This record gives sequence, C-alpha cells and structure tokens, in this order.
Amino acid sequence: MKTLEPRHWYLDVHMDYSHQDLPCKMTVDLVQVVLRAAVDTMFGEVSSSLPLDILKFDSKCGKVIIRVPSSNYAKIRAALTVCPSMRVAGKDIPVVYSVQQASSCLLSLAGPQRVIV
Amino acid sequence: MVRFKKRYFIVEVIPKSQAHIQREELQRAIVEAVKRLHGDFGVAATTPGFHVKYCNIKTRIAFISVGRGPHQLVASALPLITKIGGQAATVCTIHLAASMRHAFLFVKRYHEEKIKKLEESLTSAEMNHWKQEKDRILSRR
Repeated sequence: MKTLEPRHWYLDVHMDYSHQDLPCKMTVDLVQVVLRAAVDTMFGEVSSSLPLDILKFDSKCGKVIIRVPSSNYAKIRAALTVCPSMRVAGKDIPVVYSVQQASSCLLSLAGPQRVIV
Repeated sequence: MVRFKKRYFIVEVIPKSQAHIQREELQRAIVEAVKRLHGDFGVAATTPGFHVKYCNIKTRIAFISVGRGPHQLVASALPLITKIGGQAATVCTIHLAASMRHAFLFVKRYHEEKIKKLEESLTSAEMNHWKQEKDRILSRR
C-alpha cells in the first residue's frame, strides 16, 4: 500500500513570557510576526518566507498551535528552541518557546498532554 | 587527519562606478548577503575556511574560498549582492573550482577567449596596431 507523506506538521507551542513587560496586547498577528522573526534570525529569509499559519492562540496561557510545511518543520522547531527573546514595539522581551507536542495529524494534538505541571 | 575540502568561486565584480573595491569590503558584503538569506546558521556554516583569496579590480576577478557543502549557501547569496562597501556593485559567478591551481588555469583560459573575441571585432588598422603592441610587450619578457 502506498503511504502518502504528510504535507504539513502541527506544533503545539507554549510561549512563556511576562505579561507585565508587554507594551501592547498580544494578538494572533503579533504572534505570527514574532515567530517569523525567530525563524528569520536563525535561518534567514529562505525559511521565514515559507508558510507559517497560526491555527489557535490563547493569550491567557500562551498556547499557540501552528501549521508549517513538513519540509520546514525541523528548521522552525530548531529556531523556536534557541530563540531567547521577541521584539514587540521596539522592545526586547525575554521569551521561552517550548514545543509541547508535534504531529503531522492535527487531531493527535487533542490527545493526552505529556507535560509535567 | 581528514583533509578539509574547499571550493573556490571565481567571480566577476562589476562596480557601477569607477571605484576601488577592497578585498575586506567584498568579504563583508558576502557575509551580509548570507546572513540575510540564511541567517545565523548560514553564517556559522560558511565561516570555517571562508576567505576572499584574491581580488584584482583591474581584471574584475575575485576568488572566494568556502568549505565544500556550505558553498551552496554562498552560491545562492552571491547574486543578491547589490552593494560593496557602500558602492553599488554586482557579483557574477563565472566558475566553481576545486583548487586555486585550477581556478588560475580557468582564469587564464577565460582571458585568452576574451582577447580572441576582442581581436575578431577589431578593424585592420586597429589589428596592426594591436599586433605591434603585443610584439613589443612579448619582446620585453
């Protein structure tokens, strides 16, 4: 039987930052900008110009679900892992991106969380 | 010990105006282009063994040495250079060689072909003058 390669990968990312340091409210568009900036710093325009979709963002707990092309998945995960800060309104705010789950099937992100609380 | 393989880009540096381009300026322009296109990863990958080995602004030829593998990152960044040391200039890749010896052999052949093409376009009077000049230069050696 022929198996089809997944075209996209889905990542459940947790953004850990101080809400008091933010000069403005965190929105979906802003999250996309800071995620792209993290990829741009590490891997340049070649990687940051590829699609990066925000499927869900919860500003209260900082949970983001993103969809990326499978060819760019490793680069995006690597860039988010090493990114130390995000630039919001000309201000560098320390942030830690931790990838909680990653899968080629969006439904599998709804499964049990493997996170130590 | 395993040898460190290199690749040598033979490039033509074309400044928009009559300007003297330094070797360090060309190197900085290439690093900036790689950083823009491939980020910190690209710069880190290309740094070992990266040098502008030779830059002759009269013949517009420059040799850039890079480690084999990451040379592809440099190859993709070279056409995107638009400024060298604040002056408008472009870089055109002519050849990719595996050693300095073969790079110089290629440049010799490249210049000979260019001179041959130039000679074909000369008029008979110009050709006579050129032959006299050529004989004078060769007799001096």
